[in-house]
Amino acid sequence: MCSTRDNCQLPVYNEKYRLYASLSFAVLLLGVGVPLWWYTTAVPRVPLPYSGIARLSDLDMRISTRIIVATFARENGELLADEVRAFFADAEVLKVDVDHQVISSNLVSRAYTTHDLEKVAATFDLKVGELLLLEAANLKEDILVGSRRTIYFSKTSGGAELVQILSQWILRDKSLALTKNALAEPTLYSLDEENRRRFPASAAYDVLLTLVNPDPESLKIDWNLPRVIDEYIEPFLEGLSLIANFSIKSQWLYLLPLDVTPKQVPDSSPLGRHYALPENVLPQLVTPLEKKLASQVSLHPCINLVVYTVPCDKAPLHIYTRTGHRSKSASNVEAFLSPRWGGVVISNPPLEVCEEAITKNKETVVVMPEGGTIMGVFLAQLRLLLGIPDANPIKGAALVQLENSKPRDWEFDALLRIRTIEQLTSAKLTLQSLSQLLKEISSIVITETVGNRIKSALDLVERSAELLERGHLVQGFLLSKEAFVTAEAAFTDPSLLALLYFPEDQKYAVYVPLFLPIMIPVLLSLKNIYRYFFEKKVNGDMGKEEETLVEDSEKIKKNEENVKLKTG
Amino acid sequence: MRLVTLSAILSIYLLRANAWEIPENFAETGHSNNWAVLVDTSRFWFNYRHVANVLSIYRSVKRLGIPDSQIILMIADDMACNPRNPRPATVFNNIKQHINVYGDDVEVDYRGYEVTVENFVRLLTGRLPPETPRSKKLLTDEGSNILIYLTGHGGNGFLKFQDSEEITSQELSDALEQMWQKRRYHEILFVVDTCQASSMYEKFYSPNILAVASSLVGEDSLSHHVDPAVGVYIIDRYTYYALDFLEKVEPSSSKKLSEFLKVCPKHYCLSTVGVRTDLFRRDPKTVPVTDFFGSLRPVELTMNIVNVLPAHVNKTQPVEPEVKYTYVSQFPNLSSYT
Repeated sequence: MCSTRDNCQLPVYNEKYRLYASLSFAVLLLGVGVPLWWYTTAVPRVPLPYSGIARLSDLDMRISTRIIVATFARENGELLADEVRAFFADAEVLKVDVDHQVISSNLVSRAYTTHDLEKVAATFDLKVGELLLLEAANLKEDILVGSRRTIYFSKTSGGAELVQILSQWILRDKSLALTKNALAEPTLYSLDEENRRRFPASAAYDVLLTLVNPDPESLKIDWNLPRVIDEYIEPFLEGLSLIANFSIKSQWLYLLPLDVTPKQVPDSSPLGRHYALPENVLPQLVTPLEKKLASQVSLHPCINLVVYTVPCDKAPLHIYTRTGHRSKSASNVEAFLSPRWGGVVISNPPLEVCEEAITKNKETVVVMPEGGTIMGVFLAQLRLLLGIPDANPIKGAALVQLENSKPRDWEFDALLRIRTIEQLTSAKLTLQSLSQLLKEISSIVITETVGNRIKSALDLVERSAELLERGHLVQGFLLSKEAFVTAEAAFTDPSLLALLYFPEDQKYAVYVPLFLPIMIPVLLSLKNIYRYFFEKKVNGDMGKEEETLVEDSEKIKKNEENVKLKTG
Repeated sequence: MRLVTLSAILSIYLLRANAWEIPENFAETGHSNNWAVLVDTSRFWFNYRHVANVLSIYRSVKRLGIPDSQIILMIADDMACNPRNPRPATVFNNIKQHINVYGDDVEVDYRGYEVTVENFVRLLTGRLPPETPRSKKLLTDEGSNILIYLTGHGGNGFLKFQDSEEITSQELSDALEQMWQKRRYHEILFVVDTCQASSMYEKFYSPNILAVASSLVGEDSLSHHVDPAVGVYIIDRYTYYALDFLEKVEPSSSKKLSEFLKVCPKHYCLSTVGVRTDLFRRDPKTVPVTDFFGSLRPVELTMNIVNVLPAHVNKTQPVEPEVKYTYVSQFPNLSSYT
């Protein structure tokens, strides 16, 4: 480099190289660098079906349900069908199609028992989700709800009661609508008791049966847990196997006393006392229990079923309701449940055993819990926790008793409907909120996998809604389950947070000091480059046609002087 | 004239009737479970007070009934077992050692270098890797009330995590919005005890959040007192008085959230406690403290029994072959051969 201007003999075409050098800098930085920087720092997002997701808000989720009314007389049937149709005409989630048929009274005249009636009903070809209202001659009650998909009614029964049964027990249209609305608009609707009790939708659940023996020294329990599970709980859960996968586990816990001390109450029993557990301390039993249950081991929601066996020196233990009464008068089994958690059964030893132990001064008693009763309570609790509510009594209507622990067919259908609506609404909301968040928050990454999941979830939601509209409840349910799982997986995929958020102002705080010192000279040199080429062209137009290298270099020199004047 | 007074009285009466009715509706909680996310973001011995802060709140929520499975406790450093701790395995909130906030069993879910902004945001939004154990997940649903408590060193618009990174108020409010969109909470009580704490909640835009901060923007949040044996400040003022209040709350007590908001007046805290209520739809005067700090599971008595006969199990019980145990022959004494 030269120190002063005088002794500096620049070759004429040096200026030209300088210009080409700055030109190449500019091209490299602006043509390669900026796009590369843009590409590597942009939030990677695959294109998503935003319009399809937006369309979901108009998606009409309606479950078509076919009801067949079979009567002896045509007019009666038509009247009834019209009544049912009119009642469900403006139901929010259901679309009820009512057909009526005329049957001969001979068909049911010889059917006296429920079993006979069910046989008659079996001649109608009913699919899952369909219902049959069958007129029957020899009924004790006005209306009898069977354990399959049939409601039997006598001639005298009114349409109003039938509609009430349909609405409250079987189709549960209000509950369906609330399930949907409470999910979609949590600020307007709050969950009802039934919704709060039911476990949220999931593809798999754990059922954990725990036997708690607080004092194994003095109390031996003779009970085969795997066997009672096979006998009672397994058949029930098998009946629901379409809805979710259930895995059942059992465990024994020793030396886990109650956290509260029940009050001793004298009474007239042989032992002369019992212990009272007021209802309002029951919540305090659950929390310490929960700590030891190890229900945390699995990732699925866990339904806890706990048997607390009471040792003789604390027996019998009875629950007192808030009003100060014994919750049950003559039973050794007392129970309560906690919504979305599970149930607890307090199993007292038989009084005779304790009496004998006291009189003969035995140290250890062996107790065999009442398996049937305890499991009956657990089944009642499981039904509630999984979403089969108790039918509140309706005047003139009766239910056929359960023959085995399996839920009734229409209860299963009702549960399918509730779960379908829950899963579809949830999948729909997940997709919508994801698309909304992508608009609001710019740094969420959407990878190929997540993009595909979103697309397939959207497709599944639409297909499921279409199948439901056509009355295919089972297929519709299965697709809704898949849609729910897929949408959930898309939303909670860890890759969405691959770029932890970096607010815009902080981005500039990083980029400005980094790029400004480089970019300013490059951008300024652009001006020179532009002028060089522009003025060369102007000169070329003004001057002679011949373009020799010497002349060129002279021009450059001139230009350079111009530049120097400007910048200097 | 008389008509006017009459109508005025009537209208006042009607208004009062309305005013009396609305809070009644608003007081209904509608939540089904309680969760707590308690975070201490700073490490090193001189930040002993932040660990004491977070353990104070942990102690209170646990005492009031939230089980460990529903408390996510993030502590960046272990003060109880620090070699400089003159009383190992204890953390006290008070020089007189009134309350050992470390207690008997503490279940720390994220500790040490696991306490990062990324883990915290992933925890809130539920985007944890699939292999994460259940105890490190916030498995809340649309019926969950969540208490979020943060303590550490903050500035205007951020809260420092460890010594290397910070969460900005924008990140936090985006995470909360994602939780709301995914129906991951019913209501949130957000409590933050840092310097310039109120800047953390200024950008919130999701509904059903009640936010409390120990200091306003431009103010420092100060510590309460030094324990010469420990050698550092042992608790912050705001949390000290909050714990003082919470110690008097019982699971059955009817103390309201509005009382909790007033636990630390200016002459105690030396900083102004900031409260943001515009996102919260209930009146704090009607909300029990136990809606957020406690969790008594609702309980229903079961009166029904399903009377069924046991299903016939076809499984034949495998006959256990009788095993006779014998002693293994002793190892030969090799010394006789040599």
